Amino acid sequence: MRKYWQIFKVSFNQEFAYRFNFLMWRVRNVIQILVIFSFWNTIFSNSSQAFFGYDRAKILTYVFGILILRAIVLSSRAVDVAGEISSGNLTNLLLKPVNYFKYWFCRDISSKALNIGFSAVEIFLLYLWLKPPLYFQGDPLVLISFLVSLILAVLLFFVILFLVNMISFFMPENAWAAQFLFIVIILEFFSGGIFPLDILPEFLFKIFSYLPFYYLLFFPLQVYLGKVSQFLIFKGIIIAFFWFMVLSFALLKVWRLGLKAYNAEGR
Amino acid sequence: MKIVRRYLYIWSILSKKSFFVHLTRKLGFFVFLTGKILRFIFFILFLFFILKKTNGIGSYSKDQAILFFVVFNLISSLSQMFFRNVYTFRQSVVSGNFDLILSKPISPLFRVIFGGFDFIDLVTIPPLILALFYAARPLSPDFYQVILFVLLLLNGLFISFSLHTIIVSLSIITLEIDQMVMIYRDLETMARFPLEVYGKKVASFLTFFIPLGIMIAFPAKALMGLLSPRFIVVSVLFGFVFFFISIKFWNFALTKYTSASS
Repeated sequence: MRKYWQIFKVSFNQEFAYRFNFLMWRVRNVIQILVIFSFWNTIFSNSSQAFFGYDRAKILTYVFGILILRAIVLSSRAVDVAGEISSGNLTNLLLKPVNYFKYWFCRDISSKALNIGFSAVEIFLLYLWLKPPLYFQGDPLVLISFLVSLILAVLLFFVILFLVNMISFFMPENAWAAQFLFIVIILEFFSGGIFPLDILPEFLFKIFSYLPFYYLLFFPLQVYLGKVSQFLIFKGIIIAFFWFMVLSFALLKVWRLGLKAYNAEGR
Repeated sequence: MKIVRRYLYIWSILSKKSFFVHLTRKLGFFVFLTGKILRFIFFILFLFFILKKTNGIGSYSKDQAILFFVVFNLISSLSQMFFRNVYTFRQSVVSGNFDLILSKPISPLFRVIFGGFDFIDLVTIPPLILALFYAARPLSPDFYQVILFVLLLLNGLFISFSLHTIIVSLSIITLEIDQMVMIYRDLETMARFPLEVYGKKVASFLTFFIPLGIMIAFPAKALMGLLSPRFIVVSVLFGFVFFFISIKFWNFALTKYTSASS
């Protein structure tokens, strides 16, 4: 356990090695949120209007909630795994007495810790500037359900990202293309990072609700907002857990196949 | 004229090289292309669902909001197509490989900005022009508006060139930043919707300080017949002034290059 704590600490300090770069990354997050916030703020400029079951307070809470959830769920260092495989640097870690998945999970947690700290400051400043009407959840049962769905979201994202990175074993030159398609485009949209998924037509929304991406941002936030019944929370947690198990199994399979195909090119 | 011909020839060689690189990564080419097409489809669907309920964004009608979105995509894709090399420039500075560009008998700025024509974006241009045609049709622009649109679109690309020049200059001065071009992209996405959405102060900032308004919103407004002649003159003048400033900044940045790691 101590060695993973050391990995956490080293990784945390590494983020500070490129302070300005990190700051710029956070600036990007704020810009993205400002775009979405302003868009919805204009749509709901007449505060009495409600569209798709959202009024102004709920949609603005959604936007702020996405900012927090992105910091917790989507901030990650494991995005570098593909580069590590294609450059042959994976060999260095395979020779060390650490579990490769645990190593990257520790690095992910350190990245999340830092991003959560910064996003708390950003949220505070944006709150002072934009003064949105926010919704605070007070039901302890809902808050516990939210916490469970959040932990599942973190685990699910780790597995999805790792699975996409595994492409590097078989097609090292296309790893970035795969990340672009699955993580930047599909995951962003299908997880509710750009807009709430329940504004989509019902049949599309139903399809989305059975995909793993739905449980990364949209589902935890819906749980927090109290928009899901206890039965649906339970059902959602079961589906998210199911996806986690299936994708973890697939990841281990692909990892073993990948190691067989790995030639340590570049070393 | 001889210089223009020479640089066109160099550009064609660089573009050919870029094409051959794409050929070696055919699968990557199609995956990236699929991603770009999907992003466009997802956003346009999102806009349709929203506009079906709201009938517009702010003071703009449904058709006008869609036109803003299509013009944004067209100008953004054209910029990425011509200036793609900017995205990999920082690595040349950090590794010291920029020395190899500086030592060649051509303008280093030309080599840095135009060194990697993106054929993935080229594929997206014809469908975007078609989408522009369909998005503009309900607004029935006249011939004069279309000419103004083309003029301001070229001016927009000129401004985009200047912005990319500033980005590569910043990459030389502040080695630490590899997010700069992505911040520009994030700011650029703000022009996906009419800038008035962001309030008067932010809209002015995005129009005249980071001239995304002049680059993207003005051509769209010209096509809708919403831009007064005064603004057309101002935007062309602004394009030239901005170009001049960016070249000055580039020359200043070159004096700060330390050739580290080479």
